[in-house]
Parts: sequence; C-alpha cells; structure tokens
Amino acid sequence: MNDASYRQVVQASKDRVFGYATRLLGGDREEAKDVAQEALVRLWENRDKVPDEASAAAWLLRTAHNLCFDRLRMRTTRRAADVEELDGLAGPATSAPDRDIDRRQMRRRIEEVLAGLSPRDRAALLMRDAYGLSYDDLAAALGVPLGTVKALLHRARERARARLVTAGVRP
Amino acid sequence: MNATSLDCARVRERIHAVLDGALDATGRAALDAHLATCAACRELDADLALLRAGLGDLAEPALPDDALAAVWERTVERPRATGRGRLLRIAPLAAAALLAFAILVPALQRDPQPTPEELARAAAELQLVFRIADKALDRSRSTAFREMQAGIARVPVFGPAVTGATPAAPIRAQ
Repeated sequence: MNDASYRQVVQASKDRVFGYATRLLGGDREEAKDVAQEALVRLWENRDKVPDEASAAAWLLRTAHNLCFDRLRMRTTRRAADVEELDGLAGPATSAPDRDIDRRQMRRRIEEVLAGLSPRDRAALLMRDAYGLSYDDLAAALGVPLGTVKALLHRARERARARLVTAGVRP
Repeated sequence: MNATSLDCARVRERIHAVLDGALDATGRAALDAHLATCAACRELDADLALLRAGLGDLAEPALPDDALAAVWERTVERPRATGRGRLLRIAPLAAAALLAFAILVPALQRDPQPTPEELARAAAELQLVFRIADKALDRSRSTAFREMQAGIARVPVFGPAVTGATPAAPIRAQ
C-alpha cells in the first residue's frame, strides 16, 4: 500500500471506524477518537501485511475492535450511553419532511437498541449487518471459530429484535 | 408449527439466511409458503428485516479534523530520513549519549563509591535525557534539534557531590 492508496483507504473508512468505536465504547467520543486514530496509524505501520484496499477496511475494523475491547476490559463499570450522545449519532436534526424525521427517529431507536446490547452483540450486528463484513472477517474480529459466529450473530439479532419490539418499533 | 413442511425452528434459520443472502430459490419458496400461514414467523421476518434496514442506514459521525490531521502527521506526512537526513536524525540521540557520558564519568571519578541516592539520581537524570532524545527523534529534523536544546537546558546538571540529595521525581511511563 503506497501513500496514495493509504490516503484513499483512510478517507473512505475513517468515519466508519470512528462510529464503530463510538458505539462500542458506549458513546465516549474522546476515547473513540483515540481508538480511531490509533487504528488508522497502525494500518500505515502494517501496510506491507495488508494485501489490498478491500481488505484494509475489515483490517481497520478488526483493529479498532481490539483496541475498544482492551479499553472496555479496563473499565470497572459499564458506562451507559447518554441521550445526547445517541442524538449525536442519529445525525443532525433538520426541519425536513416527515420521511426524514421518521428516518432520524428510526436511527435513534436503533442506536438505543445497540446501546442496550452487550459489546459483543453490538460488534456482531455492526460488523455484519451495518458494514457487511464476511463471516470470516467477523470470526477473526470476534476471536471465535467460524462455526460459532453464525449462532452468535443470530442470537444478537434476536436480542436486538426483542428490544425493538419492546420499544414499540414495528414494521 | 403449521401444515407446511418446515417447522418454525428451521424457518427461523432460513429467515437469518435470507438476511445473509444465503438462501436459494427453492429454500425461499418453502420459506414463503410457511410465512403465508404462520403469523409468528411472519412477524419475526418483518422485524428482522426492519432491524437490518435500520442498521444499514446508520449515520456515521465524522472523525474530527484534528484526529485526521494527527493521523497524517504520524503516517504519510512524517518525514522519512534517508542518507544525510538519517544521520541528522540520530544526532540528538548521539548528543544525549555524550551528555550522559559527560554526567556519569566525572561523577564516578569524583567519588568511586557513590551512595545509592546519588546513583538513583544519576539514573533518573539519564532516563530524563534519553526520554527527551526519544521524543525529539519523533519529530522533524529542525524540530528535533530545537526540542533537544530546550530539553537539555531543563536537565539539572550535576554539580559538586550533594549528599542526601533528593532523587529526581520518578518519570511516568507514557
């Protein structure tokens, strides 16, 4: 990976890495900023080991995931995301048509659901259903065998679904 | 369970398989037949599809500009030393080594058996010198020299042997 392709990967992935870290760390943006920065620098330091730009995106998420879990392990108490942090993630408020307001409310609900899940469930849902990582990448990031990752993801989806239903969100 | 050939547990697996794009046309047809007659599975299918759509539509917060600037600074915009540049980059470390030598040798010559306090202080000061040099190496050449000069100026220089001197404050690992 040369300078130009590294810049391209960073520009394409930086917000996703930051968003992933923010959600995994319960909305702590300062800590998430440190994690994202560190993951992006590590990509540069390991650019010879990352075969192409396509695999760099998964590599970055995996690295951010590990950095987040290192920090989560160091926390003695679980920190709940507060309302303002969730609002920030749901996107800017606008005087938009109803359709956009519904969309924003839905994002907010999804953020609340994610915040109520365990970090591992959150990670599985984000990596697979939000970012479209392969099962191989998901297994590598979560540190579980490929055979286990599917069951883990399905359980995460159903726990998230139960929370959505409890929140009164139905199709 | 209903009259169709699939039970709800298998249908549940297939609903997840649809989300993973891993269900073929035959499997999909059997799933649809079950969903047409089972309200519970139909709800699960609709809820998971909604969840999936919501996750796919999440807004990503923008990484703050200062963090991105720091990334560039530590990667593609970091000066790469070659040839003469490399020599100049290691100059601060060489200077630190010389300074350490200059501090240590006279102290040992002055008193062949330094007290533990003096040794502790010397060790702490050497640590400080090397830490400054290490930080300086991380910067550009000109910045490195400026920091080195400033850093050396802050390093307490050994004077005549001081008995009972307080060791320098411990250096916190970064």
